[in-house]
Amino acid sequence: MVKILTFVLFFLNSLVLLAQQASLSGVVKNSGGEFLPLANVLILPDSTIATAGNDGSFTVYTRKGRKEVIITYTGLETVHRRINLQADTVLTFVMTTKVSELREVTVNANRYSSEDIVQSTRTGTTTLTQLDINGIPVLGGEADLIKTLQLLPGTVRGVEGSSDLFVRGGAADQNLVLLDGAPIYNTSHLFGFLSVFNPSILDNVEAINGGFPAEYGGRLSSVLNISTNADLAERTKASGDIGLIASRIYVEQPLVKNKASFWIAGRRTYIDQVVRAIGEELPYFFYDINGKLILQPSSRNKLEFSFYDGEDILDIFRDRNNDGDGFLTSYVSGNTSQSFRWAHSFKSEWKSSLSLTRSAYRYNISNSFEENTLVALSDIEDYSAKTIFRKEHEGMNTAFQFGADWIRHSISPSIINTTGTISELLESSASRGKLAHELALHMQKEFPLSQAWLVNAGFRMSAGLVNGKKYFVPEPRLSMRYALSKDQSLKLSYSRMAQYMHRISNSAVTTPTDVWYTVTDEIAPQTSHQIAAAWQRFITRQKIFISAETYYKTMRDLIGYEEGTNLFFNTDFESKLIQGSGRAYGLEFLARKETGRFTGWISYTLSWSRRHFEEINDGQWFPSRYDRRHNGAIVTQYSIGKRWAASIVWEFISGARFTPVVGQYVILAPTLTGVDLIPLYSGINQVKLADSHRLDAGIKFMSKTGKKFQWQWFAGVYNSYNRASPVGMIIEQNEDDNSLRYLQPGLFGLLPFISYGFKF
Amino acid sequence: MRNKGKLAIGFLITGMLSFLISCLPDPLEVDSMPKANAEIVVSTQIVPDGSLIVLLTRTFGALEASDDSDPEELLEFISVNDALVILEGPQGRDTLPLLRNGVYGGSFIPFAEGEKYNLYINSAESGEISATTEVKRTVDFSKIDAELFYNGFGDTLAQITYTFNDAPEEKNWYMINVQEVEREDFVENLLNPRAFTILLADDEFNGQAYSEKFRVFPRDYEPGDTIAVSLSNISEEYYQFMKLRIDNRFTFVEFVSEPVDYPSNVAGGKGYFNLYVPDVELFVFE
Repeated sequence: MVKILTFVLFFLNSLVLLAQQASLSGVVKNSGGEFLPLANVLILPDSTIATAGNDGSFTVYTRKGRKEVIITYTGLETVHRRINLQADTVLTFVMTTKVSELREVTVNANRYSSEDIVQSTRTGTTTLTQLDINGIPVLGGEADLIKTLQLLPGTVRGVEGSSDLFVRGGAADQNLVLLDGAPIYNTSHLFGFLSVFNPSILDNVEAINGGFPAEYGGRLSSVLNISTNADLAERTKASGDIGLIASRIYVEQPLVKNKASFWIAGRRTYIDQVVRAIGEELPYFFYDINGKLILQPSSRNKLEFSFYDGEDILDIFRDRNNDGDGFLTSYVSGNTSQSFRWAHSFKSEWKSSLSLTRSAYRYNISNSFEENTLVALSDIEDYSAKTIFRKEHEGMNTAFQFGADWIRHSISPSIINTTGTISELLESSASRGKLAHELALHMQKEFPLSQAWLVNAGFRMSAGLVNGKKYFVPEPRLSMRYALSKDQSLKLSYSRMAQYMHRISNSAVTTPTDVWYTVTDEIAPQTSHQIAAAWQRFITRQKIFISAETYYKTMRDLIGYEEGTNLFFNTDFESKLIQGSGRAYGLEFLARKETGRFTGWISYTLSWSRRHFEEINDGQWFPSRYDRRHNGAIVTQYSIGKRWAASIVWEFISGARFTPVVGQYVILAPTLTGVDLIPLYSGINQVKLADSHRLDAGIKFMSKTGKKFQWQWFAGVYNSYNRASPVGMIIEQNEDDNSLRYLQPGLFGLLPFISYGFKF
Repeated sequence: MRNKGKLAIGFLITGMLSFLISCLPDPLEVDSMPKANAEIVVSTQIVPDGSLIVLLTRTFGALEASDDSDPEELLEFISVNDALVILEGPQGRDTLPLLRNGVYGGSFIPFAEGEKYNLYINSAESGEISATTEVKRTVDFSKIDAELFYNGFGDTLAQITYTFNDAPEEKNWYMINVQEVEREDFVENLLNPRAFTILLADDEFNGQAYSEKFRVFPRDYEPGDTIAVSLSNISEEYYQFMKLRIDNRFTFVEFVSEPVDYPSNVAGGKGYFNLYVPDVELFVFE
């Protein structure tokens, strides 16, 4: 009741304000006269934000007086225009292509680019475009979304080269990764070293680490919202990239002018073919196929159907005796997703979207040797429906939104089937399959309290239903902005999150064979509270975004397992699961320059992350595996003339935590024929591995601008000074004197890379 | 144009090969490590004639020995030889004398099944510890046979067939071990002899006869080899300890393995004070 009264009060207040206002209508076009959909409009000093419609038009109601209108659109020069608004006014804004981005223009439909974030209520939010991702030298030269995200504040990577993300002290499974709205459960290829997202298809990536809007839920630590290209193609276009690890191609084709088009993209590694060419065998490959059909039957309706299918396939047959009785191993893991989205604009100020998705992940490991076979299977399949209704009163800087989510999870977590003598070691077994439902209702309202204060208050009621057990978690959300000036603001946010799906994983490294598992009668959903405070500034003249943000997060019912639990081919993991708590806090700093000859960012995170399980470490708090105190990166790209660009990335991360063997003892073997050596470990994660730092460099040479067929060579080195990034500790024996010593090995040394990209 | 294409392909293949052969970085040294607390480790075994062997050692550093160390040198290095070892049971107290490197023993001790015994150890150098356990009922094989099994793929495995009777109205935990006892193997495998072990809890056959046939995998045997097959009725806590050991036998990558805090029934120390009598059968394969 109190909430309803509050909303009514704000609506009445808005009506009073309306009388002192005038409307500003506009149309945003590019220099070719084409309308620019979803351009961002900012009116100062009122800090009014609006988004142009699909036809490039917008209408804003604001107070009369002198105004500065700022129109932004990724890839185009920002338009600043000063006007004296005394009556209803109609204007046309023409935007020109940024000089620095003439060679590669990506369309960014996200209203929260760095420049806009300052005036929004958002905290902990970062956006990346294809341009950001393609320009950075990474492992093997393969542009990679996840590895680019790992260079941003608040995000810590796991083992070197892996696609794990540990956000604000959370675990790797606490990140909701959405590809066009469909959850992707396994985000990596090459056993974790390359993410599954083909860079060619990416339009916009929004990483939300805190201050979560009410429409998002289901994970504790972050939402990675990956949107693929959703613009109608105007002509046939193709682009591709040939790299050392994989090659990719992207083709888009209009079907009906301004009404329908599609694109399709593929990526495959051919390292198997290359190795075969030199007479060796590496029977492994991965592939991705993505596609999207875009329909816009009218200016008020837009339909998108996108699909993704990707697999890792390993097929080894070794027959040393050439008698046909060799060892056969096959491993197949893959994601598939389909999503349908219908965006509709009503004649009133209401807009709606409906998303229907299907997402599945499975793996199948099969080994056979002589009469022995071992088959391990796991799969998860989700169906979901999500709908959102949104009404924006742009002139009053208010918006109201509500919606509902439903997800059906069907999982067969782990099935082991053995035959032959190997079944003496590993018996056939299966975990119980699960059918679970996640439901959520959510609403949020954004409204100004004054000219400086902007508030986004939301509420999400989520529920998890499994085997007749029902969990309900209220998830209030609040984000507030206080504008210090037109380009500077202070922010505060609070989020409560709940997570009903967990990944049962080794704490050190996630693998494709990790098992996703729902809440059960015994295992309650994980929950968290997070507060964050931020200071943000956008320096207009130099186009530099600066943000300093601090957060404190507590987590309950985190998933762990009893000490000594072996998760390898273990179907009885449910009885070993335990639940505990965690807390994380830290300070994040980001300075980012998005345009100009010199672009890039400096990021730094100071953070702590600790865990507590009654059953582990004698019930004492201990650091989490990736409790890395300092985490920073310098990412720079510099255009040298019109055809050359250089990029350098330097990364520093405090060592991860580790539990080494520090001692041992002997006891009589059960057969009395000797003694067994038993290891003694340090306290959980008591030891910090050595700090990691690495310098990657790349140089790009591009074709002349203006030509229809454009190409580029990108060459460079990863880990240029060949320093190990420790993944753990091993004990090594010196072959000369048989003495033992601890060593910290790394995985990747200096790795050169080269790739060739083209588009026409 | 064709030459340019060839150049590009050559460039690409050169690049790929350089990627494949790129160097691994040198591992980093470790400056300092925490040390494990020095503790006394207890290990006991009843011999069927009523003798008790108590092995007393101390914990030692991770860098002080490995699987490849000389077992006799290691035992000499870690043995606790200055301890007063007292066994206390319903029939009174026995002081066990030191026999050799950390091995204390007593013979003709009238152990009573189902009774509790206390072990007190006091070492001037290593401290004081104690442990309590119950003498488990001896369970023998009622039937057992071992033979070679040719699997048709060139491998010869040991196949064991056995039966035993579980005692009714009590909860029991069993351990079955198969171990090669050839002299050469015995010496070579003194450290981590890696017996083939099966653990059973009588949840599903309480008070009934239990039969099973299994093959020892993946070892190859030949005619003339000798194996020992033992059946032991063990305590629940030792069963859990052995289960942890077996569960972690696939731990093949040290830095991604999970740490294990192995349990102990020794107050103030490590190891196990066990009082069970195994039924051991020897087989020579024909």
